[in-house]
Amino acid sequence: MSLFNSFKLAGSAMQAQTQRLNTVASNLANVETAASKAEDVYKPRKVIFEAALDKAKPGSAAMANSVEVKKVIAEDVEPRKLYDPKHPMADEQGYVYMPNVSAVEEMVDMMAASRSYQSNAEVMNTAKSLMLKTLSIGQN
Amino acid sequence: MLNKITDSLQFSNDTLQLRARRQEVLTSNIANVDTPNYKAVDFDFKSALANLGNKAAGNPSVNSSLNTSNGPTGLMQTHAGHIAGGGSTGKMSTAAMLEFRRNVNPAMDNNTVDIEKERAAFAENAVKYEAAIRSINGKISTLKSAMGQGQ
Repeated sequence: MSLFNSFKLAGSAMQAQTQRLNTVASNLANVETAASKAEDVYKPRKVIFEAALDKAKPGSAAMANSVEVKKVIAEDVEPRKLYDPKHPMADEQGYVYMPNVSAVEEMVDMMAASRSYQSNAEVMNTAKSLMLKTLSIGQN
Repeated sequence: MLNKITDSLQFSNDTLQLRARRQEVLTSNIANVDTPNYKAVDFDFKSALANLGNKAAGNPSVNSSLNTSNGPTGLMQTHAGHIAGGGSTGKMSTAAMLEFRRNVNPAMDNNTVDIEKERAAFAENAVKYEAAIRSINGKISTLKSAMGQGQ
């Protein structure tokens, strides 16, 4: 029955959005993680989603069977270089390197992820109530 | 006799199955709102239902389990993905032809899901699914009361 697939699909989307929220949390948590070398600095993570497409019939477009996190990439951005000789992690020139995490961008990403999560939760609830109503066909 | 009873429910049954299918397709769109390169899909409910209707009309005894073939020499289709083999009335099954949504502005990542539209369509389809269920319930209660006559 196709409504069961809705559960799987919405569930996989919620899982993917959760992973996206996790990377946002990781990025925000590491906003002040200093390093003494430019290459050791934490790089902001981003998730890339991928749709596992259904097998389409010839001449027909394909819908998705599930959503998965294809990969988590570490963004290659220049770290922030701060002059702070008193910092314990400072190098010989007195510089510390901070991750280039844009807090605003991460917050926006977080809100988008939570909205998508909510949408999918609602989809699941609707599918559930429709299925329960289907089960009660002919019972009145 | 029993055939007539099931035949009277066939249209509602088709409607319900197509509504469930569309619900699934719209779920796919909503789930993939953040997937790069995903293209929103949907199908034309009217023509899909008409196709199912044609199939039922070309094969009146489609309901009896022994006669689900596509004609005298056709192969039995017990799954939506089965290809109609040989029969003269090889029509599409409930797996309606999906089409990409047109006239949408793709996002920067080539995703064409418009979440507002999809959610509106989803809610609309859910209501119509319920309407189909009520219609079936109504037919069943009509049949029941007809059977109860004279008691």
